[in-house]
Amino acid sequence: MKNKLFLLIIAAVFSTLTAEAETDVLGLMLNLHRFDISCKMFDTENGKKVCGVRHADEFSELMKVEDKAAALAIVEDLQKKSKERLAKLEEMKGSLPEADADEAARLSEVALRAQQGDEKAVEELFKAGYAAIPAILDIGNEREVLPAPEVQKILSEIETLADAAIMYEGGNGLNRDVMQRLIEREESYGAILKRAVIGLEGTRRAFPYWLPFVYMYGLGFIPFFAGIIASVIYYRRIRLDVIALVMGSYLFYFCLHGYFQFIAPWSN
Amino acid sequence: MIHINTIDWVIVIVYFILMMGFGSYYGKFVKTSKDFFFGGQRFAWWIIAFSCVATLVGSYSFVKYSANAYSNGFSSSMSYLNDWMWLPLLMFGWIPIIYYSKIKSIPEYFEKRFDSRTRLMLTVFMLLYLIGYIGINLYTMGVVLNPILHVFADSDVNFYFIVTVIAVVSAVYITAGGQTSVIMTDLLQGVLLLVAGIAIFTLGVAYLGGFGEFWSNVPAGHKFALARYNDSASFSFVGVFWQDGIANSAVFWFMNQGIIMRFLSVRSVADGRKTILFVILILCPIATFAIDSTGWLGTAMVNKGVLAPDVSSQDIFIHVAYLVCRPGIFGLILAALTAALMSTVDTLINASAAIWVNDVWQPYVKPGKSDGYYLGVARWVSVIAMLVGIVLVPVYKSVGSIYQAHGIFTATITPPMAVALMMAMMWKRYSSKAAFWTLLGGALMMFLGMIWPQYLIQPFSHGIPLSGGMFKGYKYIRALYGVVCSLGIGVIVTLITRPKDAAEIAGLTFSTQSVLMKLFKGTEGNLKKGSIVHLKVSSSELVPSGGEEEGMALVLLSGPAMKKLAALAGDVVYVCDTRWWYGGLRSLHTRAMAPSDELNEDAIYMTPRALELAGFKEGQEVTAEKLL
Repeated sequence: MKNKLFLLIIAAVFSTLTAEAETDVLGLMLNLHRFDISCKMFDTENGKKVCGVRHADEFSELMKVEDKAAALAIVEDLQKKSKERLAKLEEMKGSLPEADADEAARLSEVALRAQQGDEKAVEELFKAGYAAIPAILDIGNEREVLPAPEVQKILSEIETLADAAIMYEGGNGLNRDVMQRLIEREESYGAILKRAVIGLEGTRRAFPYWLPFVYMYGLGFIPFFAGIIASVIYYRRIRLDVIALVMGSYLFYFCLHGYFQFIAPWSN
Repeated sequence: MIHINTIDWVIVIVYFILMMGFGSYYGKFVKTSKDFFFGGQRFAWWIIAFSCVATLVGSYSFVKYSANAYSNGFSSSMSYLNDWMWLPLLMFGWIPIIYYSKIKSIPEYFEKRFDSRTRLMLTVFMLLYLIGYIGINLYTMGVVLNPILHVFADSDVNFYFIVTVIAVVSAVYITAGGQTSVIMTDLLQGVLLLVAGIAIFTLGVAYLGGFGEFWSNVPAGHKFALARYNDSASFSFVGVFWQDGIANSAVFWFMNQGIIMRFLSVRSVADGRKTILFVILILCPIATFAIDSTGWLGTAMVNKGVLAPDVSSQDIFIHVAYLVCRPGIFGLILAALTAALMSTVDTLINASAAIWVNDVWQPYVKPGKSDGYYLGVARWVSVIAMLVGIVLVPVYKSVGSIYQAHGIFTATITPPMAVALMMAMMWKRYSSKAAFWTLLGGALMMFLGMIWPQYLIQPFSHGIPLSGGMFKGYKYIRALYGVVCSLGIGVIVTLITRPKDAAEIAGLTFSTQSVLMKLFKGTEGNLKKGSIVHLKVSSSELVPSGGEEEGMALVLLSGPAMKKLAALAGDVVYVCDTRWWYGGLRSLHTRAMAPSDELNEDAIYMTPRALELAGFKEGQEVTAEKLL
């Protein structure tokens, strides 16, 4: 009986941990999707494209989630849904009307004012609904700046509405241009998910952040110690002033690296 | 589009003229080949320390490390902040060995420690590396500056114009003043590099709205000092540790001919120790900050939304500098970029000339000639090395595979060279054959590892993913594989071969200071502590000539002066201008003669030639210090 109770407690604790891991993954994936506007690409040495700084960070956080199997299952599920959604978007696009060029130009101006902090423009942008999506995305694509937090918030809300509208194949105000932008975002999201799957399926493990520190100050002490021996041979005795000097140098770097490895990342 | 203001142009042009004039001025201090290669072995530690930093920071450093800092955050500093591991070994092992054994080059050390065959192989390795590297530095500088400095509309013409101008400016002052010019110009360039980097950061922080804004916009994941353990093929902790921290740092500080020549340019072993201590504890962290902080600023700026998120990491340095610097300051930054190049290239040229003259021309082609003859050859070789560097630029530009080949060659020879030197220094049993096979076998194993990384390097990979195939896989962690293979070969061959006679290698391995001092001085070292004495120089016919050209002129002192110095006849006395800011430029090493009580107590007597070599004037006040 006692054993059964113990197993039940273990199972409860484990399920809580797993649930937390799932929440983390979902939260991170949502962030990746919402902020993929900032996922501008830059070349890497092997010619592949990777996400920008912010994205790379979020992706790395995802890689650190402890329960890899649960995370992989979630990401694969998200990947499946994303593919279905992409197919639906492609299908719907053909039946939608072309965008009104004048209205699109006007909304671009409104988006720019909203970006500069004009509160009325923010409201107007929100009222424009789906039609505002290309204008907001253009802030990032053409003007080469990240949308302001307020504008990102509008984009997020409009996209949520668009999700619902597409699910029920409705959504007055959707046009071909908006749909094309949503397709591009979905493709970008799919690429992120693909990276997540590759990462989670890999054999790499997320090592604790203190391991590099221990590795460096452990193995690095070997050549350092050889130098201390050289000093003993050179002077034919242990000179305390020399030992104090070299150990002081060791401590200087130990503290410098230690501060940035164990304190700085958690300070704001 | 980056537009260069007129004032920026003026600053860059004035900087070039200033460097050429300033460097050439020191030609008047070069009278012997020792002056040309080792600056007369008379400089103070602080001058050499700054010039070392200027050499450490290459033409590509600002661009490369800013890009790395932008992508990886504070951990980008790892590449420059792991030299502490080698500090005691340099201070108490290596600097006394090279200084007291009077070697002129690393290949020469390998001949003394092992044999001429090993020296020849290392000479070939080092010349290929050095000459190729001059071309690489010129090429990378052209790549960086070509999009910014528009002198000609045609991009190719503009590229070669920039490269040629910088090469000519460097060649002019190196040919005139050799190592003395290199050290003095690098002192200025080193300071300029640090000031420029810190200026960009300060202006950038102000642009962002204060340090708090900067700090809060750097993501938490970017604030770690060390990279993630093994996550990335291109920048993981273990890879950088073995490649940069162990193999590259060992070769740079212990075997880079340019750095060795700096250590041999200081006035004493104690000053050599102060140099490396100051460089590693003070200047390296400052230089790292100056070089990397632009990338950190770029990250904060992108996160705050003031910089386009799609700026390529390779362009982040120029974009951030252009954004935060007013006209005039940007010109200074461009001058700093060229300073980074010139201060590396001048060292490489001088080092190439030293190896060619000391390890090829003197022993094999024209032995037994006068010092003036070798000085002339050194000047010609400097010009030729620069010309070869310039010729290599279009080759690198058009044939990418040759550029890559140099990178592969460097990666191949670095771990075996590091292992061979460490074993040579630490293990008396390490034999000549073992050294030869460590270098050759280690390089061969490295080459095979680069062809089949998935089989040979993978067991050492620490779980780093394999990215890229032949010659590209395990780019960093392959250094560990190379170290293990070279070490294995070295130990096995040593155990089955005969070591060199202990007497033949005295002072070339870890040794006591008495053995080393005797090697340098010829007699027992005098360790009795004396004072620094202020004296007036005087030329005298009582002092016999001889030894001036070898940097050890005879001097005559009074009995009381010798007593204050705690010096005996035959001791090495360093005589220096009292003005500290010369940093030893006007000074020389001398050997004390038997004292005479009939002499003026406050005077130090030397030959007119010694006076001329040191740059002293009759009656000038100097300090004298007994070294050993």
